Amino acid sequence: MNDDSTRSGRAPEAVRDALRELPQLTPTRAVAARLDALLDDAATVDQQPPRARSVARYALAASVALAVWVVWPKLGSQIGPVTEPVAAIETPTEADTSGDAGPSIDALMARSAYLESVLDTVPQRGRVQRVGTASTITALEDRVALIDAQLSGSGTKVDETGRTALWRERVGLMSTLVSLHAQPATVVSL
Amino acid sequence: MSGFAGLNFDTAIVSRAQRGDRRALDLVCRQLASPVYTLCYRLCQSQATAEDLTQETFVEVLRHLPEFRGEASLATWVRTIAVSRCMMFFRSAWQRRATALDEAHEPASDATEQLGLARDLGDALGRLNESQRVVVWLYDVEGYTHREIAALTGKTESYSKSSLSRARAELRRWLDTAVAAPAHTATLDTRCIA
Repeated sequence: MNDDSTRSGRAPEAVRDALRELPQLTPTRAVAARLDALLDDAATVDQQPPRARSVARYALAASVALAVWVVWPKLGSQIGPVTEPVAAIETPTEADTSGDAGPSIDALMARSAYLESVLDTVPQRGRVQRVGTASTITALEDRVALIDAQLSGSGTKVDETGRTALWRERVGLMSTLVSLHAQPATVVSL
Repeated sequence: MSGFAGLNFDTAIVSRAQRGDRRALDLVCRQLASPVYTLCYRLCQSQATAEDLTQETFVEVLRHLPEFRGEASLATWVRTIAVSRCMMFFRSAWQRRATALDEAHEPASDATEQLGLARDLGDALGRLNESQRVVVWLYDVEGYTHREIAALTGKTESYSKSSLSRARAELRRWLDTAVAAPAHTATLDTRCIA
């Protein structure tokens, strides 16, 4: 085994070290979407019966709709940074689990991008929706668009705290959108 | 270094994941996704197959997580499952037929592999035959012993050793050729000195 080095300029250790230095590959979007679906199933099956799960999703959708309804008028008169955190939605992040003050903007942006990718992959089965669900989704998408406009700098300048709050809210909205798009399959299963 | 090395999860988080806590499951699985996918891709050299094997691995992980006793680290336990899924894939009749139909390996689409030594070595790894690739990756990167590899592959320890020797020789030969080629010379030289 060791005499291999006599046939080449590289020692076996050089090849081994080079192999070890190969970068980690980023899982594709397909992997991320499949993993997300697996995690949803694994988590909810163990924690709640199916009917409770459906009720919880409806409750979440209702709370989001209420939050949007309450926050919307404020935004109409006060275009500027949203400094208060969105209480209706909590998105699981590493920072949440470790008990830190909150995720960084980078973490929120990454989570938001990930949810975008999930949304691109998952929603096909949810094209036919109830009117109430559809209107909630529209309201959420409009709110995301408004946040994007604020984050992109149109209108009033947003400070760091405001940007963090906006990104946190965006992640929450995206997470809810993913849940809502998955909702019709749950309704059928009732 | 193996992506599984250094992945240590807090026992409280593992316990919560075992009870089905969504946040804990999310944290654990997201951190393991990249090492699992990388391992599957390095061994099978196909993006689509690596995606399937990664999914199968996590199906097994989530199914058996409540039975995890913590005798090894969680990362090691998951790696064992991933390697097992890969070995099952290699043994399947479907895989043998597919490989016979399409011998050309599929380069990684990851942006980090587009330049320099990583691309050359990734390509070289893909040109090895299946058993050589499995042996060199499991031995040199994942730290498996020849005895463990022999048990996984159903071959002898001697076969594992000779496969490793041939794989390293092939990789060195291809890398030396790559160094001689003008495209990646600078990067390769830098990385080799380092």
